Amino acid sequence: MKAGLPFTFSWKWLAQLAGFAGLYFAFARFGNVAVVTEGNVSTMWPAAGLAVAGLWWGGYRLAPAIALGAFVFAWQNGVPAQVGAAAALISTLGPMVTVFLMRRYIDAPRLFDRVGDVFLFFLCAAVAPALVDALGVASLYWGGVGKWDDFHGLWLLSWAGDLMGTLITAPALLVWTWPDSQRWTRRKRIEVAGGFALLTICSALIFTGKLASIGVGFPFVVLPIIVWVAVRLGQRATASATLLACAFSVWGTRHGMGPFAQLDLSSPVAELFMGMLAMTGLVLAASITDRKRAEEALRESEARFRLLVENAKGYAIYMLDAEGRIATWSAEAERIKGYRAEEIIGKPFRTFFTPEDAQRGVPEQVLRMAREEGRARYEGWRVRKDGSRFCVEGVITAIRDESGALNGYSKVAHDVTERKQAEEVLRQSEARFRTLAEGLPQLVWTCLPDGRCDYLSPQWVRYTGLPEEEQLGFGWFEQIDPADRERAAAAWKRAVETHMMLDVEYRIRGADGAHRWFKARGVPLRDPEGRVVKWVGTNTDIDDQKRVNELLEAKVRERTAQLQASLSSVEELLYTIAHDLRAPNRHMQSFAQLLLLEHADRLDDTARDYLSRIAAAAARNDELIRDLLEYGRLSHEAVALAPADLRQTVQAVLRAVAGEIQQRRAHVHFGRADWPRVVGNERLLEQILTNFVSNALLYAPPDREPEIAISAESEGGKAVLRVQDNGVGIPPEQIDRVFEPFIRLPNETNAPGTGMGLAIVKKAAERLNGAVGADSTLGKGSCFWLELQAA
Amino acid sequence: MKTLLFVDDDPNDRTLVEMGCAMAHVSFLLKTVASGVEAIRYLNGEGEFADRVEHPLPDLIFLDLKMPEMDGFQVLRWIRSHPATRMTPLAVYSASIIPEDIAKGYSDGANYFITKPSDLTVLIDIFRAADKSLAAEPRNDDALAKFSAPAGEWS
Repeated sequence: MKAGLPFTFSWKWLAQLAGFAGLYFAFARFGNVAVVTEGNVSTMWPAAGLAVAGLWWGGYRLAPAIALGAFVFAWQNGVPAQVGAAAALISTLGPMVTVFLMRRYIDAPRLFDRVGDVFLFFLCAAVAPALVDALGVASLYWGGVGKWDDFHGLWLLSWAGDLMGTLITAPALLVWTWPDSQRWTRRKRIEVAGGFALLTICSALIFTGKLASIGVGFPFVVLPIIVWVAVRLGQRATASATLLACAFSVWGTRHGMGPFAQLDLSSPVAELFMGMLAMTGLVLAASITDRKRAEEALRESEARFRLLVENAKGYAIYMLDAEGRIATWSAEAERIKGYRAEEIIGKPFRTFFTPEDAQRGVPEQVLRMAREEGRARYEGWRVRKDGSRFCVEGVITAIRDESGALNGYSKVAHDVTERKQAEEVLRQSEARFRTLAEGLPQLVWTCLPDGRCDYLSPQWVRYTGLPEEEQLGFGWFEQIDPADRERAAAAWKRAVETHMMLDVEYRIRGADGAHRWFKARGVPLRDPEGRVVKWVGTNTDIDDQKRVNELLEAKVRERTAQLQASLSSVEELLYTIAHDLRAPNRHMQSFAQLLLLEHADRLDDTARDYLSRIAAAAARNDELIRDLLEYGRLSHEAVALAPADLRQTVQAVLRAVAGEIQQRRAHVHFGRADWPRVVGNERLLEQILTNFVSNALLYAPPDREPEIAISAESEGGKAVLRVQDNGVGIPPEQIDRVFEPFIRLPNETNAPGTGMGLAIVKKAAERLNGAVGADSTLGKGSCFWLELQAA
Repeated sequence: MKTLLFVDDDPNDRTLVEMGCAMAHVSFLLKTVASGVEAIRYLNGEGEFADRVEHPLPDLIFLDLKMPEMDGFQVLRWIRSHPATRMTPLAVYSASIIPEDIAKGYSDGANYFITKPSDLTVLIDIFRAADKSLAAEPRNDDALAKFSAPAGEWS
């Protein structure tokens, strides 16, 4: 609202004012017609009700229309202008104050829905005219129109007129200003039509017909009809019916008919009757609406509650009566327990218990506990209708009314069979683990995924002599020998971080204070998703083993030293052989040669032959020593292995023996171009190859030109070199012995040699991590092969 | 005339070398000493070796390894550490065919490592080659090299 004018001026407003003023005038006329006027006061003033309804619905901006209508009415009745103006002011002020009070105290858009609001309306309708009419009547006297002696009667009349007019007319109009709450079924429509027809007939008969003359008591016949309408058909119908009955009453009375026509006009019996009718109807209709609303709320709340109970999956929610019998049931309860509602309602609560529990009186104990302590939690096995058992966990609550009397019990039970079974399986598996853990000679432990220990077997506790709880978490760490702690911690940290198996050795302090060596091994346990959920491990006492090992190691060191010493002495021996043992041979040979060269003329043929034999024997002896030396050295000298080009080695060897090849008129065939590279040592490879080629030349029959084929190929990570000849061959029974020392094969060629050549070859091949062998056909030739690691 | 100093404790070897040189008709002067200690006295010009006309500084030294008192390696190191003999060509002349000996001989400063031959004709060839080497001026004909064990293989 703006300051100044409480409403904005507009033509629409003017039209509304004019319309409403006309309506007011019409109501005033009717009211005036209805009641015989005494002075300027009417005993039933419907216009007051119209004014209240208009102001409530349209606002105070319609107030000028009321004033205008009242003034015109007064003026038309020949009232002097200033008295008319005062009457108009009073007629406007009364409804305005009424509406002001209604707005102030009634907080509802639908005025007559609540009984309390209806009484407030009555109060507002009574108080405002009482004050304003007192002012109005007084103004009449001040204006010299009436006498002060009649003040009381006049005020009462005008107040009653305003009050009755408001009580009857305003509700009949106001109920149409908000939506109807009735559901208008066909049956209701018939009822309303019948009700109004009956009311019309009765009213017509009572207030205008023959019955009218019989007595005052008869008007109350309409009361049951009004009550029926109020109970059955709502506010609109009630207000309308009241208005209808009153209209008949007023009209009949005005025309001298009906019971009220015979009464003293100054006593407001008709008005009282009508007021009572209106009040009864309004209060009754409001109380019915109130109840309906409460019922509706209750129904909704119950529906929600039902929804909750029926949809709580896995929970059986039901009620017991005070005697412990099942009082309500739900779909979920049926699903869990197997009983249908009609089978179980009324049966005792103990029906669900196992015979053992029932016999022990468990159901009664539970109920007693609920009764005494308000509620009881319970967990246990129950029996379904089909006899199968299931585990429940639930709470039972005693329900008491306001006086504290026991009404019954509510019961919420949850089926926990699956969880229970899982727990049982877990418990059994745990028990198995413990049995196993405690039966092992090892110290057994388990840890959480983060490395904290959560179980130590009794063996551990016994060994350390400390209670388990002191060692859980990382407490056990304190028992590890300080010298090993860092290593143990690092190993454990690495295992926990990488989820790799723990395998570490450390010393643990025993109850006697001595440290013993343990081998700790631990593996992570994983869940189906692969996450580590636990570590399980054992510590095995390896102290004795460790000591034996230490002893063994010391022994090994000692033996190695001894061996080293004897090796050194062998080396010394070899050195001596190399230097000293060969000297006499050399001298023998040289001096024999010297004799032959310088003094041949003084010797005969026999002597020269003997000297030649001495020289040859000495030379052969030297050769033997050289081969033995080589064989001995091969057994213990360090051999450096490196990738070697086999083809180059073969070529170098062929160059070195080129003279002999030429001399024997031998043909050498070379294998394919791409020879494999091998892991070897050039000197040893040359030694082996020289032996192979020399043998091929040596063991060729004199009548045959030697054919030597040299080839090499890769065979699955290995390289095989073959030297094939067309020589005399090796007898099958001898073929395994050719690589032994001092073995010389019988042959027609009388080939020279020490018998050490192939033994040296075999030793050299061993030092190259390779192998040698021979295949042979007697008389056709032999094939010597050397197998090496491919580079 | 060039001088070859032969150091060997074994009288047989000394005899054989003297005979060999005679049979090879070498043109150098052969001087023999019977031990490492004597070799050092010779090279220092001590005592009976003071006369450098009679006992000139050698142009080539043949040195045995296994000798009493002071072995060939010690003598070799002494020779290589003295200015007068530091550059003198030297051949280790030993019975040894042990690779470690050969490697050590070269690493201590020997120019050749010759294995004592069993065959007298080979011995004659060796000293003929020594003679040839000494005669060559400048020494661009290294005749001794073909009797010497290869160096690279052992080092």
